[in-house]
Amino acid sequence: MTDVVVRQMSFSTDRSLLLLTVDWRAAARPGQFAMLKVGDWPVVPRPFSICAQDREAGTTSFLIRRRGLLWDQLLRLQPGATVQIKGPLGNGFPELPAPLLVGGGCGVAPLLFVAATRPVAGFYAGVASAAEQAFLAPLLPAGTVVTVKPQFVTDAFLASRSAGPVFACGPSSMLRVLANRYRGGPIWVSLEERMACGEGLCKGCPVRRREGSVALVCSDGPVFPEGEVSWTWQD
Amino acid sequence: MAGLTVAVAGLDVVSPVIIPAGPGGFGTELRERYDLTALGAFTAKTITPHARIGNPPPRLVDTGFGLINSIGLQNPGIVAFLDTVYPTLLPFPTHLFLSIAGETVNEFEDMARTLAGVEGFDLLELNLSCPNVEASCGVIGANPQAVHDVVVAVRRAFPDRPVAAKLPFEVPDVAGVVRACEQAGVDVLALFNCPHAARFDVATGKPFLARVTGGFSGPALKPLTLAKILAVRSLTHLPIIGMGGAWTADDVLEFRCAGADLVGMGLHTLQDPAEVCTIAHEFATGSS
Ligand SMILES: Cc1cc2nc3c(=O)[nH]c(=O)nc-3n(C[C@H](O)[C@H](O)[C@H](O)COP(=O)(O)O)c2cc1C
Repeated sequence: MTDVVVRQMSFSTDRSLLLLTVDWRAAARPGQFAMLKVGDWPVVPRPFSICAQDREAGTTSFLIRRRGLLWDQLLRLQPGATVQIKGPLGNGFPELPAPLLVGGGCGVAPLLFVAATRPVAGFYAGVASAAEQAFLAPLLPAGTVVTVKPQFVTDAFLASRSAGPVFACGPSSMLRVLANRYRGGPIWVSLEERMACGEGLCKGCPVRRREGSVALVCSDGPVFPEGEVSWTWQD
Repeated sequence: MAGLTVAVAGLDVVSPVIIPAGPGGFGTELRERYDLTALGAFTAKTITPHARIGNPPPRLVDTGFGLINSIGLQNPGIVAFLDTVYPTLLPFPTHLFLSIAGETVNEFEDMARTLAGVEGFDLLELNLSCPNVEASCGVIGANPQAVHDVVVAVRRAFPDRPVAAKLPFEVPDVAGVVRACEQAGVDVLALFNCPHAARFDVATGKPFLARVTGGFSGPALKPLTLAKILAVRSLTHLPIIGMGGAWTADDVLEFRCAGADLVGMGLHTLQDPAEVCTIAHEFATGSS
């Protein structure tokens, strides 16, 4: 893993989300991720979608939700501190123009990167609280439809009667609803799974394909055409 | 650090640092992406007689100073492995070890016979200890008679290259199992596979892993592994590949103090293969 310096950290007012910006200029495609680690503990790094890259400033940003052992370490960081990074990893979204974007929670992170690289036909973002909504507002493109729990982002999206290719990222329950109910075009889903190596070695992040074989979210994905995924293992 | 070449079961090994079975996958990706020449050896992930899709996710849970894994021996089966994966490995940049697991003596013997006709790898490891499968291959290693029967059959079918036995962490009769290995003709002991472990989500009361328990590895395990290696060292002169918690160059030396000849780095490989190769290089003959 490579040492990189933390440039900026900002938290939502309820401290459930962190936008972490580091000095890292490895060119990534939207939908790719990196493994991040802080010092020696926890020893296993965690995967995070790349949320933004500023080529001129040479920085990369990640949107991180409070969860797991790494969070306490992140809370102790200050700008100027060092974190370890491995990536960019994974396949990324296809090069389609003008996709519709549907994201739940931290699932908006890779979609923000998509929206920064091309015009999009619509952006639907579901968040957990008003605090998260306020935090994400400046990052989301104009015209984004935001729903706050207990509203479902999938309801807002389906009610819009949009048609066209969709890029979706979020909890598997959300992705399944889209897969079952959206008939307006093809869907690409970016899956979330616990990972350890991020590069296809350990076989820790499996997804069943419809034809029966097992793919790895890290190295075969994280983006899959929805039609390839058998959801039997992704609950 | 001084070069530390080790001769194990007739193999000259450039560095005591090796990659054990599993964390580095089958080797295709590692071989493409990293310079493995300073490693003592690489062990490909365990293969079985038939394809296994492995366990449902979640297969991993972090414990801070370690990881619990529940992969369940996902692999394409020996036939597909030899047809499609193995050719991509050759020639391998360091010693290549293959690992096999079967559920019966016959399954081990058949795989060993197949592999006796396959060139290009240097040692056959018998995984007698996977913590993540219901089948009997998870417990063979705890039973001296079963170990004896498997090894005798494998030795018969695979006479020309060294054979290692990978034992479980939890063995009631260690002395009996080690004696069985010696008598049946094992050349190297691989000590140990991951001990059983579990974690629960306090918010839901449920286990994190789909199969509840998995195999624990990582730095937290080191002192426990060292005590067990020491105990085995007092029982046998067989070469030992120690593994379970080795992370740094100092850990390699510490494992050797306890009696290991070679040292496997599993979890470290999985998170940073390049760093493991650098540590291996520190020990490799000729480097300073
Ligand atoms: C993700 C993962 C997969 C593993 N798969 C296998 C396997 O297929 N066969 C086997 O004999 N051991 C397997 N092991 C155990 C390792 O070979 C080794 O015993 C262990 O990782 C050593 O401990 P360490 O990770 O602390 O270095 C696996 C370990 C991990 C972490």
